[in-house]
Amino acid sequence: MRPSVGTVLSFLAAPKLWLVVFFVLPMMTMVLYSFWRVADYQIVADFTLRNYEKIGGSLYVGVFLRTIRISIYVTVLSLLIGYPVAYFLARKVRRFKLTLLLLVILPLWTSYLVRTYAWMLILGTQGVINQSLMAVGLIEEPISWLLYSDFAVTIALVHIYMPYLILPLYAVLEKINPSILEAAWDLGGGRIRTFLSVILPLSLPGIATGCLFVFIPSMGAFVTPELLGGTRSIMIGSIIAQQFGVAYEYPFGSALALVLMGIIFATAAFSLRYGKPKGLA
Amino acid sequence: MSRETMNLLLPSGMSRRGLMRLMAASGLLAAAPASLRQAFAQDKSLNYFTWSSWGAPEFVADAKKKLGIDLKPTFYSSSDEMMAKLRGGGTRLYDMIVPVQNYIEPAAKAGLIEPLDPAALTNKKDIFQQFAESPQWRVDGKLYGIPFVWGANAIAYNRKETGEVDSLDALFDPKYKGRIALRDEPEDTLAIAALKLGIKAPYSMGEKELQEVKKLLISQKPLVRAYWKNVADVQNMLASGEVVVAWSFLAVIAPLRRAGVDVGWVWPKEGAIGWNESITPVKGTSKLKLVEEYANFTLSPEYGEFMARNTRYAPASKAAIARLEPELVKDLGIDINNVGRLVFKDIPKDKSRWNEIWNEVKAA
Repeated sequence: MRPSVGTVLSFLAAPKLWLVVFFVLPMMTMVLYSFWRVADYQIVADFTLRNYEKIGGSLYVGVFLRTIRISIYVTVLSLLIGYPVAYFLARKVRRFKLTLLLLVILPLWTSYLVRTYAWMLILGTQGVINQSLMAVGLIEEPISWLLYSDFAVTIALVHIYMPYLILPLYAVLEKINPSILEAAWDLGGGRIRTFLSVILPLSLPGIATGCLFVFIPSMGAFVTPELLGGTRSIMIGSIIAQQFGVAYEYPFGSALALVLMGIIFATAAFSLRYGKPKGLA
Repeated sequence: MSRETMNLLLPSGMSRRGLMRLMAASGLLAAAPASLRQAFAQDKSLNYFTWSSWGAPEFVADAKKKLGIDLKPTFYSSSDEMMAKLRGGGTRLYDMIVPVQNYIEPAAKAGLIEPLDPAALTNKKDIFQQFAESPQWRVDGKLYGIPFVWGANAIAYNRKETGEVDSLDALFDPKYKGRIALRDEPEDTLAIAALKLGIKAPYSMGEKELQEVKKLLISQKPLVRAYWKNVADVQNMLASGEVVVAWSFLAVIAPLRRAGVDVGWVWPKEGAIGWNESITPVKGTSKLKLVEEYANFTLSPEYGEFMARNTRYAPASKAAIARLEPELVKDLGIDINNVGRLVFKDIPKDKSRWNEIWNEVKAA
């Protein structure tokens, strides 16, 4: 028996309701808040554009640019390290594949905070790197910029988010039809030529998705920059968190969060548009 | 609904408190009939929303023994968390809180707390005058608390590396380049910079002074290793030798000394940032009388002595301090003869401007 229209609609209604309650409504609340203001420790529902005007000032534009810059470092570094790993797992490994994949996601089983603190032990002046370098006599004084610096923030974020890049990339690379590669070789393409003209274009969707999965959370990061960043490592996530915490400026925080979301949506739209497989599909 | 019917309706293994929390979380409590809330108000127990120190098991046992009051503590770890939970419906869950002085005005104006009857606080007579009469605990002529505990945020330093320190200059000394830590919080850090510049009332600074403060802090940045967020982080920095002089809480000193680090603690001569805390009733509590009884108890010499011995925090009661040995008083990190050096943390005249200046410093 075919299900009636009513049954189908009611099945559709549940996920719609879920979306409305947990996505649309909170979002609308934020949009509304972003046009309100705080007076005498209470949120006042007066329409104002002041929050957005404030974001246009040099302070917040500067912090947004910094955040984008660090997120790009993190994304590029994750791609440079993660692509060979995904490629190796997808196309070279035959035995222990599952075990190796498990190793990729293993760090995700540890808390984000623990992984961040672990970097303090590695990068600090008393940390593993400095102490080993000093023990073998390569340096006299500990290198101070390893910890409490943009370097530390970037390294830790790469470590934290890279699994999200490797997995989609792995899925795409694994699905490439071996007969296409054989055709490339038969037609005289060497290893490098085959990689550049066949594998790389075919893996573009994986690169686009993987990069997005690293870029987006890096843009919102605030715990890692606060713990590992130096005196200049402020990122927009910290400022947003501040508005909802100590500052009690929900309206301004909402406006900042919406601008951040706008940047992220634009990046996502761009990557998905240009992240289509090129050439043979 | 009676308590019995409620118990019948509860899934097994869930306490009424658990249910209340769940209902508050889901916003259902607001819709619950008043009679339901009354069902919880009969016993001699107090839902105590507090810092972990004041709700530790020995304090719960002490309250039971001396007053017959059952303290039911729930903890917060920052004033923001306290405010956020109260704003989010927590006023229906708790009878009393332990705020810091600068949160009284915002909490009172946002309708989160209830005034106390001054006549019920008979132990006030033993409290240092600057706490008992503090204007920060009074809003629109109503009294919201008499502090039972106080202290200061000040300088912790590694004696081996710095020798004795007595001035804020240490935090601005190029000798310690890259080995200085400050707190990532405008109301501490901007105030310190102001004190360093000789501004006597940091919390009422105008724009011109704020700009000077900003300039000073930006010029200091090359010397600073990091701005710390959690007290555990500054403790780690001092323990691992990442920094040798830091703006800090007293709480780091004892663990560092236990770990063998020779740390000093000083209220700099330019000033230290003072704090004090009191029992304050939560808006709408049905047990105001019981809260007042407990608030008065925290002002007693017995409580002050008990607290000092158990937590190493300083009682606000003169009578309590008189009961302690001089060595212990020294250990409390308070400097009774120099209370005048304290600048009590207050709401800045323009709080959002302060946050912005601090962000500008960090982004510079």
